[in-house]
Amino acid sequence: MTRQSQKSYFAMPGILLSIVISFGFLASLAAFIAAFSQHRFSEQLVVSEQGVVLQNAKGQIIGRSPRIGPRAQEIEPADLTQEPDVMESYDQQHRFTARQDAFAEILRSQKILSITVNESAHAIGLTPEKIMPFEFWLQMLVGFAGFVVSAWIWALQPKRLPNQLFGLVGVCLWLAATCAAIYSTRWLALPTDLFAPLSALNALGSIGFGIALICLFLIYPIRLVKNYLLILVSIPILGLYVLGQLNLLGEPANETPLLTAIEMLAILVLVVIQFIKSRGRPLDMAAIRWVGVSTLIGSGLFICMAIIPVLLDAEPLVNQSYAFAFFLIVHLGIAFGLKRQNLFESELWAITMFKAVSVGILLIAVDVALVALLGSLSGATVLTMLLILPFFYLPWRSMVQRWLFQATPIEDLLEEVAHVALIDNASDRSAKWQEILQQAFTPLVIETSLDGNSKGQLVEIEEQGVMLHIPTVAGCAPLSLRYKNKGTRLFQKRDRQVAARMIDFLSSLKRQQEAFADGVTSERGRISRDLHDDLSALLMSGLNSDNPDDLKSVLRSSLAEVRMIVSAEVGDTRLLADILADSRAEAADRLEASGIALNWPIVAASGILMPQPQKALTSILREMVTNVIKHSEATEMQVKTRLENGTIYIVASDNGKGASAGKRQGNGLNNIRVRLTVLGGNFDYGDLDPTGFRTSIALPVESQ
Amino acid sequence: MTVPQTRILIVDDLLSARRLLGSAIKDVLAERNIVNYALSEAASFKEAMVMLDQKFDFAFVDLHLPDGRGWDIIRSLKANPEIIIAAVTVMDDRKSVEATLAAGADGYLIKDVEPDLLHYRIARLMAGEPSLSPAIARMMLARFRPEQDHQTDPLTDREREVLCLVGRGLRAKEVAEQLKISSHTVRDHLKSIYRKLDVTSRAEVAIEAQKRNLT
Repeated sequence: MTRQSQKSYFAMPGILLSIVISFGFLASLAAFIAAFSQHRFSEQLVVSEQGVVLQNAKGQIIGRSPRIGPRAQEIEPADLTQEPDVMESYDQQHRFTARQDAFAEILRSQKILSITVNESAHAIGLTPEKIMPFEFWLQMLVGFAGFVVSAWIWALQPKRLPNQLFGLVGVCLWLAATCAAIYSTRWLALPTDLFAPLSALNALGSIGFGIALICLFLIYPIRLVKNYLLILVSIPILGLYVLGQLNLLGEPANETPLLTAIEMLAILVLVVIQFIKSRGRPLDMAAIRWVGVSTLIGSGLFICMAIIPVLLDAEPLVNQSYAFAFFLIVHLGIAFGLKRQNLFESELWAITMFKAVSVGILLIAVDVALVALLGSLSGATVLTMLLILPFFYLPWRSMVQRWLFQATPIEDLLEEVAHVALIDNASDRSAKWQEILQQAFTPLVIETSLDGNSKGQLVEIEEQGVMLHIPTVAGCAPLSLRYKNKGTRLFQKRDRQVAARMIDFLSSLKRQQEAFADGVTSERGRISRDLHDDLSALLMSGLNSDNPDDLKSVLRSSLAEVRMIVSAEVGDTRLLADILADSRAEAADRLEASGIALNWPIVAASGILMPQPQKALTSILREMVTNVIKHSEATEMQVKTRLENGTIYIVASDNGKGASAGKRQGNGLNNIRVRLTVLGGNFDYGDLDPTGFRTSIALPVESQ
Repeated sequence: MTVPQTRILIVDDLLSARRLLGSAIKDVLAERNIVNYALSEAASFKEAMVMLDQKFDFAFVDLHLPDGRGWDIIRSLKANPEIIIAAVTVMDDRKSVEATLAAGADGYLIKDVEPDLLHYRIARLMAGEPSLSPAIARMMLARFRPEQDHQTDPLTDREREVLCLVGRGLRAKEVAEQLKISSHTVRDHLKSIYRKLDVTSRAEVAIEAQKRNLT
């Protein structure tokens, strides 16, 4: 359990990268300490046309033919050779080594060192120097930067061979550059027990760098050979390296310089092969373009400037210290390529992760430096610092953090997408949708996908990242987006997710909007149907009446209808028993107000009514009560109800004067008949003997 | 001994509505043998506002005045806790009903009902009788489900019985007959039940009731 969680913790690329960078930093620090602990003086020994001269810190010559030590040993130009690899013979190398040892002994044993110049006894005291020269820092920096970039790429996919090989490239570059930094910027001499291993490690780094790159281009971006061949290729080169270390290769120039030159040539050939092989494969092409070209430029420059002259027995064209910077081109080129294309199977998070780790480390470094500084300062200065921190450092720190964790602009885009859903006109909507996709991905081409409908409803990356398929959404035609970022990038998984999110959002908004529009339409339909069916029938009946009392009653009923229509809820089914109860209470109220008694026994009536029958039943019962109040002159109204076989039967009678005696067949009754017929019910009425009036209705009821 | 004067306020912007209400109120007063009364009318929100310094026993306030909202008048009038106020309306949305009840109105009157019914309802309102419709009763029963713990049950067993009968459409008198208690006792139960309703429930009930013309 614990082991597993630890394992997944170390599988986090950011964690992995942080750890590896910390190791690299500690190793660089160790190298710095090794260099820093050597003796160093501000006066410089320089090889000029007149032989070795001594310059002061400002670069003025203060003496020629310098001699040093108790026996006044003369310093020769060969003693100042930066790189012993470039010597012509092993004899020269042995002599060089012996003299280095002797000089190192002098530097170490003399407390106050003086140097005699101009073949006179005139001695010049040397000034100890604690600042490392620029060339030292340059090489250290190149080594460390290359290491960080390689570590980053390795951390993205630690188990993939190309990433591992590229990681190895960085480790070798660091090794070569850091070792060279120490010995090539020495002051006159290093003891052999330091110089020899450094030189050997530098050679190992240089050769390993070549081996790693050869192996990389044998399998990346297109695999040319099987894995065992990588080992078969590496062994002979390593063998030559070992022979070189045992001085068995004839002359020093046959060691590292020749080997690296051969390696670089092999890399050149492999890059060209990869170029040819990856034609027509955009992803591989992008990879070889970035990795291959930057390797060719970086390594090519290094060979031309530093190695080939040595092989031709000439002086290097550039100081080797500077030549190392060429290798950084390889790493920087790949880093940029990675940012633009998904080299080494990376995704966009690679950049975010690298930013986070490097800025995170930077922030920690600044924090540590500040704390260290605070500890070493006096009280008053600490106070000043504490006052300054909130105004400068902390805002900067939070700014950096904001930059680091900035939100993606998809939120802004989603707002735009929301507008698309609101556009009614289909062609305007399509145009706006394309405009948003243009903003999101800046493709060179957006075209309607002719076979898009057959491709389905998913966003797909096609043609190896060149094309993004956008399915049809909200009535907009399916689209093909080509050449992301004005043709400079390939579509990645993240783009697919962004597009899918936009599409989900748009289609759900569109659905909601349509549902709303449907609701409006159906509600409008209901109101107009109700107005037509119920209200116009009532008002028409009013038109046909000359009796002012009838007219008033029609107007009251109409207002009641309007209230029902306005407040009705769509699809609101209710219990039959509830409707009967409400109608009974209303009838009792109205009849009591008119001094008429109500006899309406309550019986059980299960079942439910849909909105239309509800309204009809309520209106009918109300109309029946109105009739009794208006026309009957009755003293009692009796209502009997019964639910039988899914139909509610209601018989209402009064003890009034009956229809034949007065004007009872109002239009209200005809209206009731029409309503019930529409709902599958029926209605009849008639006089009672000897007196009274009766209405009977039947209405189908849904079972509960 | 002088009987204190009964003061009544009618707020409505329509003259016809004021006449209709006024004559119905006068009929009710005559029926109750109240002769010492003063009937004040306000035709607008502003007119009503300047009359707020006076004390009224009853007020009938139209909810939708051209220059203001009736429930604001009701809220101001309710500063006098003794007053009985009816909101007068033809048609209302949910918000108005809720605002009106929250302002403290005691009842709802629909203007266009038959004269007899209007009279009947005004009479009941002025007598301080609560009208509990079946819809209210059913909603109360649904809201206050019987609890396991009788201590926390807001309704008494008798109140529950009354509610159940009212919910099935019986009137107070019929409930009294059915339960073999006096009509007064039933009215006391109803008043007690009504007090237990909060404003939201009352609004829901009022809307429900108004939808079916039950107010």
